Amino acid sequence: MGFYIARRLAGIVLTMLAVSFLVYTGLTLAPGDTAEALLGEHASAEQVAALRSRLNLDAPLPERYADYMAAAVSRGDLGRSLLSDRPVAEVIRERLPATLLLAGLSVLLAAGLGIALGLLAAVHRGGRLDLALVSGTVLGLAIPPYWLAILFIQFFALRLGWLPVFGSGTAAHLVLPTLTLSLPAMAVVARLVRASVIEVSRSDFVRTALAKGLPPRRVLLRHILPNSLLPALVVLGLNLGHLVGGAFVVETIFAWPGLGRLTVQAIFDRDIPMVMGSALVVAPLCLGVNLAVDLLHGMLDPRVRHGAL
Amino acid sequence: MRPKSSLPAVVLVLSLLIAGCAGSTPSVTAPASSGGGGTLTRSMTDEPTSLDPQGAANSGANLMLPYLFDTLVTRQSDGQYVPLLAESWQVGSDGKTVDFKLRQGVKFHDGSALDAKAVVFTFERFKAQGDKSPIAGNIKEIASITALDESTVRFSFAKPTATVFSTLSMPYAGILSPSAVAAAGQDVGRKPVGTGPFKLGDWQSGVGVTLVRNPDYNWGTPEAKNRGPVKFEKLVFKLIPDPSTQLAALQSGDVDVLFVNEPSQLTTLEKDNNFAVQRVNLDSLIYLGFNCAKPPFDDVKVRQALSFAVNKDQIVQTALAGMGAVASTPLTPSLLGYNADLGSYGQGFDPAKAKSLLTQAGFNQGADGVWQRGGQKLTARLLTSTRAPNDAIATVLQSQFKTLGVPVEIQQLDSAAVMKSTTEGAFDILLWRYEWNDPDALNIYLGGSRIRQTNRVFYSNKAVDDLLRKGLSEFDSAKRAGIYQEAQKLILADAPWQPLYLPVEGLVVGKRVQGLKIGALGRMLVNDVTLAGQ
Amino acid sequence: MKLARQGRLGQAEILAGWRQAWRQSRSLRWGLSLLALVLSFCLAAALLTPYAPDQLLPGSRLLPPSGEHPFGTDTLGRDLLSRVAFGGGLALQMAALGIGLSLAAGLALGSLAGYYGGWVDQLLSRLMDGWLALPAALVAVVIVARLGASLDHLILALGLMGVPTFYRMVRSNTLSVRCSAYVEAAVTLGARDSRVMWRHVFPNILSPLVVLATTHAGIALLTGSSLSFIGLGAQPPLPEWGSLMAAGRNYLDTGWWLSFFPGLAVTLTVIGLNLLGDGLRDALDPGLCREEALPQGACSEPQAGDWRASTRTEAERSLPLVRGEGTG
Repeated sequence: MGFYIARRLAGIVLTMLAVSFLVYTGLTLAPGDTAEALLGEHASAEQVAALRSRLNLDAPLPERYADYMAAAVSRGDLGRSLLSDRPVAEVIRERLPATLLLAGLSVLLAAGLGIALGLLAAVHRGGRLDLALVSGTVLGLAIPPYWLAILFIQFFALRLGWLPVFGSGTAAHLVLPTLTLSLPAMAVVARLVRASVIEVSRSDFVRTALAKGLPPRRVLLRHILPNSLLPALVVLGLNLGHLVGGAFVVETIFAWPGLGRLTVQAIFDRDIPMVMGSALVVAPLCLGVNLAVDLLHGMLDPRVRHGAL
Repeated sequence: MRPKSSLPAVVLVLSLLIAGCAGSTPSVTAPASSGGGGTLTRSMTDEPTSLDPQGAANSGANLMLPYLFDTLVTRQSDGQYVPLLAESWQVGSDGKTVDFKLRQGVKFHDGSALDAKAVVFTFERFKAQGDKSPIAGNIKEIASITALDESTVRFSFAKPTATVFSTLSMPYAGILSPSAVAAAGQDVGRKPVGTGPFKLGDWQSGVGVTLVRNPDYNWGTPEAKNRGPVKFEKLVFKLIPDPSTQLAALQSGDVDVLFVNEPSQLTTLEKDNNFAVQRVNLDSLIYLGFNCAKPPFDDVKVRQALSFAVNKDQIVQTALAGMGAVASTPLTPSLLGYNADLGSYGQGFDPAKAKSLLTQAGFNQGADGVWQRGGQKLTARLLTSTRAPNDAIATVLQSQFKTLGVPVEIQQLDSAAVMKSTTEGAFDILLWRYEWNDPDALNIYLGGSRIRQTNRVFYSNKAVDDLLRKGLSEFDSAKRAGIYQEAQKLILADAPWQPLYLPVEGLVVGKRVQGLKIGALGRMLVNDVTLAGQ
Repeated sequence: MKLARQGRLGQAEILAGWRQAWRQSRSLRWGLSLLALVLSFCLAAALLTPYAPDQLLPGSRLLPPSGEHPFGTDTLGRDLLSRVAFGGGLALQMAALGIGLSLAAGLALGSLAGYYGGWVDQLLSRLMDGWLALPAALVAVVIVARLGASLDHLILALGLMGVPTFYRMVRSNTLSVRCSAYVEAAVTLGARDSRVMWRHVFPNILSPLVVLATTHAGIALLTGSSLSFIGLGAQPPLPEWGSLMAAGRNYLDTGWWLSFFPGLAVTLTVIGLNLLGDGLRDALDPGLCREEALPQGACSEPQAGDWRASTRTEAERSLPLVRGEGTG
């Protein structure tokens, strides 16, 4: 087990190296450099050249990458934003709480409602409610998220006036972004739970339990459900990781001060330290959550024995 | 279909659930103000990267800097330069020095007094480290800045420089408090201290910036009736990146002011009693630029031919639905030397002339209607940024060139990539815009010495360059205007640019806001604003 | 019907199996019908409409839906029905080519990693993990900015973004086939690698691949429309659905039809693809989601996360939505 974790952690480190290198080279390869993006319309050639050398953009790529990574690894120094001159770590620290709040809440909502709806559908399988719920999940997976977000604003915020149009700060501000973000994951969770509840309820131990005369409700909640949650857990874990850095559309439409929007803007600005910093924070989070999910899965599911891994 | 009918109900229940759990009653339309003068709120698309006026500028910083910092002189919407922090000025007889006499009794937000030393400090700092600023080039032209006494500053130049006033009136040339800069260290961009009508209140990253009234302010621009402190308490800039959300925020009352350029929306808003709508001419020019260094566009006849094929009326009507005025000269109306009559030196809409010019240039129309020369088809790549309404204009232009018999492929990139492509010359036709406060714009964008820099179209004409050099050193307004008019005639004939239109935007203001004015370069003057119900 | 994991079935058996699947699987019926409906609608409209998709009609700006223009007109006075219909072709192209690219690359790399294992597997797997953890917008911005914005490059970006999903699936399935007794036997008897791959490995991973490709096509469509949201999509005047929606989002009150009809088209198509994927899964590969399909007591050392591959297939269906998010 210990060996397994150590190996996975080593894998994460390797993956992080790959990520950081891909990000760094990727941004360097994109045409347009920071000096030009910064100076904009009115820059003279000398101005661009002067700024480029001040920002050390002239050094060879491997050297710059090595310098950056050395500082990041040895001192935890993610550098300063090329645009605002602010420490990248500080900017990310400002944005992280809002990001984690939104991502965490979305995953919780997706989990809670997804499991409940999946269970409901499984219990009523073949019936009208099942059909409605399954159709609902199919729709939830197919609606483009930004379209949904705009429709939500029009309906709940403008037409009905129940919720704020945009922004952050109060619980009410969280409702629409959370709902938009959690819908696809909720749909997947509901589908998975439905499928595995149906599958587990056909297994021998359930038949035995029912034969012993346990009340069906108790069998469902105590025996079937816990054994049906594992696939959903994996989905939720993957989602949490990706919502942290990847909720760009929802953050943009609802003006939510999250990391995704920050990162995409930094990409357009060719602000390499900012993008690197964000990747170096988000990617380990993603990979770490995946590892945690794997471990949890291993603990919960006797079929996955780490000895075999 | 079933899913369609069940989803809204599910969504409704969910949102009710969450709203209930959250245990708060959202108040969407609650006024964003408290007592003591109230709050004026507007949206911004980009957060300022830095509020150091000498730092990197973006649209967010441009919005805010004029409220935090005052400049020595300011430019009115009629193009006149008037005193702000400088009471008066004197141009030396050789045109190489300008002495500014500072206003007495001006205090920075930190309480320190404005004096000649502060001005000298500001511009020396600018020269030393302002290389991210859009006007860094202009500032570098200042040979030296010296304090003649407590309240007089001399700017010296190597050669007479008539752009000094336009440079010094830019928001980037705001005067900084030396003591505050020293105290802020590396954080000047987050702790701006100037003499402006507002101080920085609160800056929440990713959310917005709150400016608070400067109660000691009494040196406002002469363009406003009220030259003292503004009559409301807070000016809030909320960061709303998406335009559809900005409009929703205006309609919900979260935002008081918004520029809207879609006529159908303006019509709706005009009918709404909650808003006042006013059409505003922006000081910018949208133009079509040809890559003068790349065949076949290095041939003036080809450039003229394509220019003659452009129907600007159709662009304004179709792509902009009337939200623009047809432009015919390279200078915008507020600039010295602008003369609409010069349009006759350029190319109006004339398809017959376009065809005859192409024939003269050695092209003939193939069986497919496409012009070709020596087996080579005349096609072009039209480069522009993803900013609206560039896609609509490019599409209309594409159909106009198609009618002429020139297939055009549209290429939209983000701004950084467009600028890189143009300085490398990797384009045929460029759809771009400029906004500048001095006729030296012609030199910046079309001067031979600026090729591969701000001259994105590789245009070079020695006669034009000579005129532009003369214009730069001419302090007499009438003479200077004449010089730039001559230059425009030559430029229009050479057709490196086909000026397209001057944008018009609808300024939509909530009814509770009275007295809002739009100054030079689309800047919002709030000095006379009063908020109803305060 | 269950395709035997070893050996091949006769044609008659396959046909019979399909007929049975069609009868039994509601998803398959609905999915195919919906897709056929959307496609035939687009085809019919494109053939019958009197308006070209990029034809500017003077004086017809922002007309609401009517008999003349059933979907209304856009801000440049173009017929929206015609644009949505032609957009269907582009969507098809985008989904098919994007998935084709992901599939080809995923198949090549995944079978390599799964078959040979060892350091090849380690290297590729870490690279793919990294690829998946990258901000998706970065991939798109780099490709589009480097090569120029166009539908082709959007497809390239979509294809590259999908590679890890296919890679994982191919790799874990290859691994399980590779470790099965009969392949072991074939290898021991001296069969060449290429023959083992071709005769034994590919036929067995075909079914899950078809299922994944179908569901992933929906994801590619949604991601593509998100990329259009940040202006990285097809170039004007191409009527790509995502860019139509993005252009219409500012007009919900004055021109609701601008985003509604393209949005409906995307949604219906993705629903169709998802249902088809479900149906195909029922039909082709009932064992796909079961752990038993994976080797117990493996011959070579399986990699961590193998057990997850099956759930992953389902999990990825929500994931790339989030990835699409990231780009959007």
